[in-house]
Amino acid sequence: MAHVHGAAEHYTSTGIHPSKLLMWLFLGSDCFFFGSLIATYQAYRGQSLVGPHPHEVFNIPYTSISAFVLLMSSLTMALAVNSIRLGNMRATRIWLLLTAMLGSIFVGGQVFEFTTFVHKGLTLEVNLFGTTFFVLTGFHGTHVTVGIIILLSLLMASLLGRLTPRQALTVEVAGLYWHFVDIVWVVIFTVVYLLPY
Amino acid sequence: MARTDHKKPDPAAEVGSELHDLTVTYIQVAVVLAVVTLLEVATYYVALARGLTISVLLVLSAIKFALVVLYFMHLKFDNKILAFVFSGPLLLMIAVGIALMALFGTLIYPGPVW
Repeated sequence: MAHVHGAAEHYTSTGIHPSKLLMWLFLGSDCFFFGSLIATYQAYRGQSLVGPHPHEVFNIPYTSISAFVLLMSSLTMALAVNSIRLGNMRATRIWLLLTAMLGSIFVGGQVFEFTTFVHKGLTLEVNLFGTTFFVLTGFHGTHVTVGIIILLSLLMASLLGRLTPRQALTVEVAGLYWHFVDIVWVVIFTVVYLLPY
Repeated sequence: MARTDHKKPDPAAEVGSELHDLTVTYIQVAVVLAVVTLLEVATYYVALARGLTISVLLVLSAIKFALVVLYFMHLKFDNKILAFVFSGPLLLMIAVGIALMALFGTLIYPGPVW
């Protein structure tokens, strides 16, 4: 954390902290990553010759609740950033923990959903829908899992006294990643689940 | 060579009461996001024309996307360079996605083959 503390004192000529600029650049590149997967899903939309097809496996009420949980985790993450900027470490820890918990609920829900789909015969290789669906949502779930690890690391650092309001930018940068993961799901939820086939 | 300059903000100076508490703003945005999500899910159960459903869903999704990016990710208040860094790849990817769908003949969706 001493390294992070030191880094916080060096800004580029743009006035933007390097770690923040790098995170935004990474998120820009991640747009290409997820954009490619979403475009591929769309390119093969409705082209599976054999089932199971989307309408046979999707449970919209269940996925809607998952989407809502992830959306609300963005609120708790924003509140964590707000709290540390205001110097309230206790609130920061609570919001970080709550965000990690909501993220875990989402990932747990996704694991349950995947298991259900496999039991219904939808696997990675059974048809184009299975391939594009599992690759897209699986990579998103991986991103959420990485985000949870980052949040828990920040929480641990905070409990050990290594994360203080002076490192508010560290939490803000982690928050950018988390919010990005959320907006990717906003798009996936609409494109994959809600758009009519 | 590290480039430091006179515009360097002081992180320590940012901590404290002079900062605005954005809790109320964030909760207001979250309420709007929740309502928009409800409207999205409602389109699944309401019988609308296919084209209308798609249009409504894309608009609602764009609203949610914009609200999170502008408020939760602070892009509305942050340095405009960051908006460029993010929106450039985003717009390019949307264009690539549209091109890919056109190449595969699914831009104007022909309907499922099953």
